[in-house]
Amino acid sequence: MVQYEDPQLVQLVLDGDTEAFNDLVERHQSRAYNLCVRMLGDADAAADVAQDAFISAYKHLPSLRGEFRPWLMRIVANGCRDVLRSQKRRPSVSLDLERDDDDTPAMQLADTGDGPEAALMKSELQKTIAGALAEIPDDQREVVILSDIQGLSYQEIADMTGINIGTVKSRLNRARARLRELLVAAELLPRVRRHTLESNT
Amino acid sequence: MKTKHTITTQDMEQLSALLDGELSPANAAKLRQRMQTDVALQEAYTELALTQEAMRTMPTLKPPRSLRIDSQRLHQARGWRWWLISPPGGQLFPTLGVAMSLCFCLLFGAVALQPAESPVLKGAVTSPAAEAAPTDETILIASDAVPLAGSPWAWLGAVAGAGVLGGTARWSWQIRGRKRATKQ
Repeated sequence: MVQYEDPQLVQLVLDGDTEAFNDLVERHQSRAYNLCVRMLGDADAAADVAQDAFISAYKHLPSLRGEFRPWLMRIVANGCRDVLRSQKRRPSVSLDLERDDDDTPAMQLADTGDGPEAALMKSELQKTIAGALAEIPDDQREVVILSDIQGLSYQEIADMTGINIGTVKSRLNRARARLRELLVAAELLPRVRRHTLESNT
Repeated sequence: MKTKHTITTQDMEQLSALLDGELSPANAAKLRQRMQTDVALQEAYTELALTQEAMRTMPTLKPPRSLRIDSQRLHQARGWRWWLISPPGGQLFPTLGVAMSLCFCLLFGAVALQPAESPVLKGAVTSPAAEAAPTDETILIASDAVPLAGSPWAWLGAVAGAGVLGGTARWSWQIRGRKRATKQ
């Protein structure tokens, strides 16, 4: 099967091949979904927002200039921000990531093929990090997710979020400082160190 | 000798940038030198690195369902930009557009080139009968016949027509090119 690059797939979609758009969805859904789930903390809402972002991307595809991925991720991030804003207007919806229901991201993390003890430790670690992430302001959370989980550079984050590099740096710094405080308070950093050492050996 | 200073927000920002490899080589060397003598900086750097490591332990999650979108829903989502690149009726619509803008251009061009005092436009006045006894009606016809003849407005119309013609032709050509590329 021929593997097309993003620009070729975009061209095929513009030529009327809707299936080519679903190839783009398959390719980018994981990244889009992960940004949403980390931003929103709710698996189903994250899937809905990611899918709506893909539909919006399709709608505006003829106006795409430049690369598809950063453009798509900008749409995804905007979608997340809209949902967070509407949640703030209706505060009954919570951002609690530590619910013990099977759909929460924290519970999905446990199945990693590690031994039971290591898996439990990892699961707890990830649950605490997810909880800490929910504690920091939305704009800082977005930047730290893009940088530390999605691995984007400052410039990529600036392009994606429409803020300048100085703001990216300061938001990232504040986010990390707050996360550091929360992880230190939870006495989690020594466990991260142990986990890192175990992973490296 | 090692010391422990209070860390400023600027220090933290620099440590964060150092961690990401986003600090300039000169600033990075300066900060590393400071870290060798400042315990607080070292501790903060280690904790930041571990915090980042903790974030990186977060695995990639699989969506609970496929995010694929059925083609009917995609067609419904098409906005006006889609209409521009893929007009209803395929090539017919831009072809009609080219023909109409050509007519528009020719009409206004002809009017623009026509002198305002042209005898053709004032045909009724030039006829012997009318010359002999010009009536109010013939004068009215002559002055109202083509009021834009030779005026800048007619030129503007002709230029606008040419612009629309060029734009529509280009649009039509783009659609043809795209269709040809798809067939290949």
